[in-house]
Amino acid sequence: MTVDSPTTEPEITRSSRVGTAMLWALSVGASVGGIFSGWNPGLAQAGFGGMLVATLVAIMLYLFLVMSIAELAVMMPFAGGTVNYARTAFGVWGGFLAAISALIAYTFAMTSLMGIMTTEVTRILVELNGPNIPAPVLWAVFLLGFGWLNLKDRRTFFIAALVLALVTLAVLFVTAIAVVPSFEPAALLSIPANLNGNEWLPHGLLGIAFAIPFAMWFFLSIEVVSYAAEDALTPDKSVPRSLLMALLTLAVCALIILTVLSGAKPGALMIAKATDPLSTSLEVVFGKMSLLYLVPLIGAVAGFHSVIYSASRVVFSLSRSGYLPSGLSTIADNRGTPVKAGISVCVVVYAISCLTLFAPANVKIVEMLINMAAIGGLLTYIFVFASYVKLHASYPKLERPFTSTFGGTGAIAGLMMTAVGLLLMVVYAQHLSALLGCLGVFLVATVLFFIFRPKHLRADSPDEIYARALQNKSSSLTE
Amino acid sequence: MIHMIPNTFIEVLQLAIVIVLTITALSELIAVIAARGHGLLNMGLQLAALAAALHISRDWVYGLAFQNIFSSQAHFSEVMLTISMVATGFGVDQLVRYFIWEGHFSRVHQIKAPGLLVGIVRVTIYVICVLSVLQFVYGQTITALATLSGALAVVLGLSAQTTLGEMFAGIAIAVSRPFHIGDWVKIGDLEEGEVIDQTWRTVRIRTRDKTVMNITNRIVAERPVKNFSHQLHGVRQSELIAVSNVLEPAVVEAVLIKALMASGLVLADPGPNVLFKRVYEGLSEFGVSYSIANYAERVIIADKIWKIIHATLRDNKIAFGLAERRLEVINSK
Repeated sequence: MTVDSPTTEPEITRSSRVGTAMLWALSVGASVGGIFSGWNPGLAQAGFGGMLVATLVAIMLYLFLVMSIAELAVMMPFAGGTVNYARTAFGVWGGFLAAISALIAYTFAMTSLMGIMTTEVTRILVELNGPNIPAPVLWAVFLLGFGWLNLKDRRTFFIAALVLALVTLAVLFVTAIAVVPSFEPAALLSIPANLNGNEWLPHGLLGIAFAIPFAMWFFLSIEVVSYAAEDALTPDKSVPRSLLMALLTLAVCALIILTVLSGAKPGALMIAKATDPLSTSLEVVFGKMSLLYLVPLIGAVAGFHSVIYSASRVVFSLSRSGYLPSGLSTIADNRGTPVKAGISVCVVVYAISCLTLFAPANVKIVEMLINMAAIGGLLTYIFVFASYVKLHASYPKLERPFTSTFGGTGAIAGLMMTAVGLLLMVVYAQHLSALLGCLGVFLVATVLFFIFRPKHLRADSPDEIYARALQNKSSSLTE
Repeated sequence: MIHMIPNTFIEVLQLAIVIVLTITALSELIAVIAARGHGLLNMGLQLAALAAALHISRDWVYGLAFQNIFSSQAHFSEVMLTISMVATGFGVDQLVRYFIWEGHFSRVHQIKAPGLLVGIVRVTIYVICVLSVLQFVYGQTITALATLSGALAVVLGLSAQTTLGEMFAGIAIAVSRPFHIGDWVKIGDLEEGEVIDQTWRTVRIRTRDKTVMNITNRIVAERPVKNFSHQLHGVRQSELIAVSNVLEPAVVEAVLIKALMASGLVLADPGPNVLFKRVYEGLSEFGVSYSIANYAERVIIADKIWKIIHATLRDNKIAFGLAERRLEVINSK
């Protein structure tokens, strides 16, 4: 049995759509920042051996995730991605909670990436004896610049995403080549072992569990393609292909960088403590150079560019379905981009960044924002997997143009792994404040939604038409 | 050397594989329970892979988690290999079920796989499994067992020659499929009837008088089988009818064709046919042939058709023929 496609053509599909290569670039650009930094504290938790195991487990988790997303995105090729899957599987409240998770993930990721970019640009300016530009001015420049690239037109955005993805991969490649000559296998195992461990697993098997959230950094945000289904020329082909190609690219890069950086000078012990592992390794080879500050900046820029896109698509989709004011889902006629949604995202991110200026000095605010983004991301994964399982259980006979090779088993495994990952992330002491922050956002958003929006939900958006059509046909698809 | 934590690169990779396989096997188990038994094939293969991975990783897995359960590492290794091989056998059994019994038979040919064949294949798979475990895991030479099995097979074969012959004939019939349950057949010169069952020894046929005839598989395999239920265009039936020869044959033919078509009992394609056969004793004889879809109702349909023909001839004032025989008594005197 099939469910009729919505008769209303999604508004976002007016101008030229994109193919597999552009979607791959979007996905790689969104995640590649995690290979530049963020993963390395995992080495301190588990050593090289444990981090390698954690990375392989994370690759498996993300394989389950991209296959599940590919199936759902081909079934529901709408801009809301996870929000639409959760709405169809769990109703309006399911969609709403998934939307809050996605918004937490992308707005806080934007804020934290902007923080990293500001730090790196300030360092470069100081090195070059340049002017001291206040952070709010730099934020405004970043948001105006990348906001313009995002909203000018689709073609410009995707070409920029492709260029950034290729540049970041080139930087990773050059870094690996540059530091390989100093590679020594003994340096891989330089993390001191405790009583329960050995040189390969210095903190025993438990260390691997704590390294898994760090290994997930390598691939965090790979799912942004699910928000680009309306921009895809042939979503049934390009979405699965781009997701798998992106995962393959990131997995290869992650394994190479993990191995080469851990084994090359200054060794795994120093890399585990570094704020910016790539620059730390390159400094050993080339000495201190202002140019090296560009390395972390490039990773953050690529992520920032892709994440603005995802956040604006989520806001656009929520507005089109009535969860947010309908004015935000306006599309610029000659651009095919959700201009007001994009501008509103930039304004919110700027406001959050300004609020961080008032944070107490003892609060590591950028770290907390990064962790909030990661928790939001993991919550969206839980919604993806749970929606997949629910839709398979409720509509086993529904015709699916693309099916995940791993089926329900992969989704259940992914659900368990993500839940464990989230738990470990929270248990890890410094993430508790991030969890409380996320809960606060959920609480406020739920109260606001309950007061203002239930009466404004619309039935004529493509995703809502699909969800209702599926419900109406449910009796013939359940047996 | 037994230890509790992987301490080489290969063992670290083993650890990653064991973690992934444990998670997926656990997920598969949950999926199978939720789907009420669907997905057993994957379950079997997952379990086989996990047990094999645990066997390969025995140097550290045993020390880590199984030291209190198994008396020695060798014992642990034997159990893991046994689980792996039996689970592989289970996986192969499920694979055959999915692709052959449910795939080739049910999905492709819309027929149920013969229980006898299914049983023999399943027993063979598990016997091979058990013999492999004995040979490769426990180091028991199975030559003696195979020889004993062979001798036993010869003794059994001789003492149960007839029965085994029936069984193999049954397999041959199951594979060649000259008929299905529910078909109307005529086997050799035996009475025609409906096939109601096939066992490892006999084929059961219910005849028109509702008696059940048990025919051994060997007889069925050796005789020609005429199947009335597998005709693409129905089964052709013929009747002979004689009318008075005072009428033009073409008129009678047209009336009979019209009556048959109007009856609604015969197939339009191929349509009914009437042939002028001969003239004898003042009668014109016509051969009437028509096709019916359901051979089981042949007698009832023939009865109805005769009644319709009778009524049609009467309405058209065509008399059934009465043979006219002139007797000349010659008085020799």
